[in-house]
Amino acid sequence: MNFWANLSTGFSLLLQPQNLLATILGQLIGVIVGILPGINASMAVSILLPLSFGLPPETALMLLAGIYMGTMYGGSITSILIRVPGTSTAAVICLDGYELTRQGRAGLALGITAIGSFLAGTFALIVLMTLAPTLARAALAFAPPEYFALIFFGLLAIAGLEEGVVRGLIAGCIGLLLGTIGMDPVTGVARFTFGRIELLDGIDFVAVLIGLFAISQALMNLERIRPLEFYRGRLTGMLPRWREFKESLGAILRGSVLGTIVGILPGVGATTAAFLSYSLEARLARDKSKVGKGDLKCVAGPGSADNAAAGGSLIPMLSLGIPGSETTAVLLGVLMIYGIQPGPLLFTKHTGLVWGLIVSLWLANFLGFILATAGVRPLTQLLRLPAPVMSAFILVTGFVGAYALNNNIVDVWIALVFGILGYIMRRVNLPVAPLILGLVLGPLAEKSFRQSMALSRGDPTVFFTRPISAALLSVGLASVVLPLLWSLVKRMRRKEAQA
Amino acid sequence: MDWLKILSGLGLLSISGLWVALSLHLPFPSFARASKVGPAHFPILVASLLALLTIIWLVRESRKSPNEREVRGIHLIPWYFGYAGYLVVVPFLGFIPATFLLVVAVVGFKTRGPWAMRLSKSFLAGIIITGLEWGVFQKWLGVPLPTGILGLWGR
Repeated sequence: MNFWANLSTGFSLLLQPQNLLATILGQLIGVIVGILPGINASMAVSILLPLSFGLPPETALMLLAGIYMGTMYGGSITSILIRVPGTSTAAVICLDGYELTRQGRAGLALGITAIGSFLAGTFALIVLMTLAPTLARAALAFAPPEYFALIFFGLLAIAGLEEGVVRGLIAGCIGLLLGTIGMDPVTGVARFTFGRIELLDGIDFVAVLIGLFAISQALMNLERIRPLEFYRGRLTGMLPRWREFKESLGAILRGSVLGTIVGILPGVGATTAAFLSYSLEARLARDKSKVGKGDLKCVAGPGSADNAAAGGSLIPMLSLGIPGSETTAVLLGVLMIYGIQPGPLLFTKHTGLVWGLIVSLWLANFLGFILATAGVRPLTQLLRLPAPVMSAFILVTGFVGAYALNNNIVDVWIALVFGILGYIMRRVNLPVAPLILGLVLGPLAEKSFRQSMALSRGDPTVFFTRPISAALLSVGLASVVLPLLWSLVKRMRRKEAQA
Repeated sequence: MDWLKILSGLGLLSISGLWVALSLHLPFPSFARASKVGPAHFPILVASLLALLTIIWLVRESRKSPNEREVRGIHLIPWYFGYAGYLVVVPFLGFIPATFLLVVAVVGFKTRGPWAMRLSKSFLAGIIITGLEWGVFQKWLGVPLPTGILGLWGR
């Protein structure tokens, strides 16, 4: 099928009433989640995942992907109005966004962020539509050694680019170890089940997600409850004048390109994209004294970059089965729960689902623009909701979500154990995303590794004699070794300077 | 170094050791021997790598200057125990009474202001959240939530 036929298949799927409703609902929930500090996209997707079990896969995916896109819009609203970022991706928007609010230009800041987000999201989706099928076609030639190398690359890249290589790798290894619980994928031997029949299929991924993201975060929110400010000023002039739009257009375009590229790289994510865009705009600013004091470009650039990164992170997930961010790692797990194997075959085996998802993301992007401009006033009323009530609501929803998996309290206990693990990991600065990726991709990695070894009759050089596999392994290793070397060089320079 | 980091490191080393010990006792079926890689090899490889990385992490953390921000102590232990208590109580009391009590406790303890206001707020939140969750999951989605020993508020 060609591009236009695929696109029309996507539209016909999206226009089915339940899919349309799921996209609208997902976007609305996403914007609300983005507005409320202390809740992020991964958490919202995790606790709402059990709600989607009764839905067809495409509807569920549209709902959850809508939430992902929506949070990008919602996060910037509170950053600009009350200097409290709803999500980490919007943290950098506080700097100049809140200054614009103090100058009485909150409407303009919100408007330009919404327009930039919409344009950047659209740009990222166009790249997704053109690049992802090509990547997937190229990856169709992959045999087990290439698959193993690809997963290895993804794991190392996401671990290496997190907050410290060693800590990222530790989290990835924890995920890989958890992934070995259950039946061995090749021989069927029961491993690390401690005699429990419930563990033969492995640890329930959703219970882990609910524990790591919902329960641990809700309890951490209880630790630092503080009353939020509430924006009482007027919101006018949300649509920028031509002069203001022209002033910001360069920043929006730069943010779109930068965000998409950063989004494609596994593990970097929207927060880094927004910060990189801010530093780029600050460097390019003609009048440096305006930076940090309400420079419109420093709001438009990061506001666009985070949305573009969200779209970009879907490219490796859909085409190669390697997620580009924490939330796409969760979405990858969702696909697997529905029995859909992410990776190169997704575009040929589930064409309708993939193109339906892409088209729904564009609609979600458009709805986000509407909500972030026309719906700001009613949506910010949500900030009146007391934080303890939010935490209690998340804890109860986490319970019901985990319980609903098998109508069994054991899953809730598993979620609680992972809640404690998630809390400890956050406290000792171990990142959570590599753990999720290790858990999701671990069994696949082991299977491909052992298939490769069977094909080569136990010769491990099979991974280095095939060019694609060797290249992926080298890039993966470089993504871990180079940051380590860089930190070593920096330390040596510091010592020299001190001496 | 922070005590939580030391405990976490020791925990990770113990888990790695346990995984290696358990892997050594896993059978290696004859039909899979051609590949020379059995069910135990991958877990042993990952567990060994985890142990090595944990040691590196602990050594690096111990070398950090004391001025760097230490992790705070766990203030949340009572809340985790509270939530665990909720999980214990739910099968006996049923979802509705247990959830109502959990919400009242969380909102009541964490809301500021005079006790009468806290009480009224927490009761209102308890009724709304419990009702909403029960309505959506039990009535609308058909999830059979625990009804307790009295079997109240079932389907």
